[in-house]
Amino acid sequence: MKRIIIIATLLLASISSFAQNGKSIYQKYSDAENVSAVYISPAMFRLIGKIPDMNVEGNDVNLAPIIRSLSGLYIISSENPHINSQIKADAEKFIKGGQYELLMEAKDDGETVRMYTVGTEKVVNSFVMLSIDGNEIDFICVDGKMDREDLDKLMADAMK
Amino acid sequence: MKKIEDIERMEVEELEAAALKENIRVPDGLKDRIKATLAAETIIEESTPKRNPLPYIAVAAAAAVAAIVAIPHKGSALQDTYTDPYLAYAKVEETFNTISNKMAAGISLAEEARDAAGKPSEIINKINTK
Repeated sequence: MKRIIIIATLLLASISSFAQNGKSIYQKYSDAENVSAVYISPAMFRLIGKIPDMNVEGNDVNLAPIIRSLSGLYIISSENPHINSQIKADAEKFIKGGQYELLMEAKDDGETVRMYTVGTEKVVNSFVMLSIDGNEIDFICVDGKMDREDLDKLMADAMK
Repeated sequence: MKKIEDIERMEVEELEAAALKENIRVPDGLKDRIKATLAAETIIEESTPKRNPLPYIAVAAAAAVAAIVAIPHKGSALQDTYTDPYLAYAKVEETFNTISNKMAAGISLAEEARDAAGKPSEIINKINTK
């Protein structure tokens, strides 16, 4: 009896972890009022990868290796105060369920930015940025198999 | 005396008739023993707790919901926001720039905090050198 209850609980827990991911958050909120949403599919990333000379303007950072390793980009930018708390809760649930590691947290002038990654020492399988600023919330989720070194270099170069 | 093969070939009616012809004495107390055995079986059946089907139903329901949620649905395929790879690339570039800017802001805050944290020790050093 106890074993059965434990199995049922585990199954339900697995459901809740399945229920939240970048895609499900995008699907849930992309059509909401005052929400702008962007989705870029793996197929589109393959097409982008064929564009020659991909450089971040003025920085000469080669985006090509990163771009080719991506498999999905989900962006939700909401200015709808009625759903922002729900987006935040869903994103946090997804981050917790996906065992993301906090990369950085910055609080400045009422804006809170948190960045998370999940993967191994060498590969980043997913990157999430959650930015909350008053009535605005930005959720960015980048999936793929990004080389951690490439990603670090890209960020460092872009910050120069 | 009949052989086993002959007995095996006999019909049930024939066997019953043969049994009735024989004058076999029923052992003493057989009826009571049968009654006692039947009563004992009834008691055992009643005392065995009936399995509650609720946990099994819960597991089945949870498994069904998990399957529905986990298996990708036909209509759930997302549509690309951009059909032009150049526009998509521009958005990716913009996204990476946004992330970089936010990260840079965080790092500059950390640097400010580091500078502020170093000031008390600078003051202490100055006092000590005087």
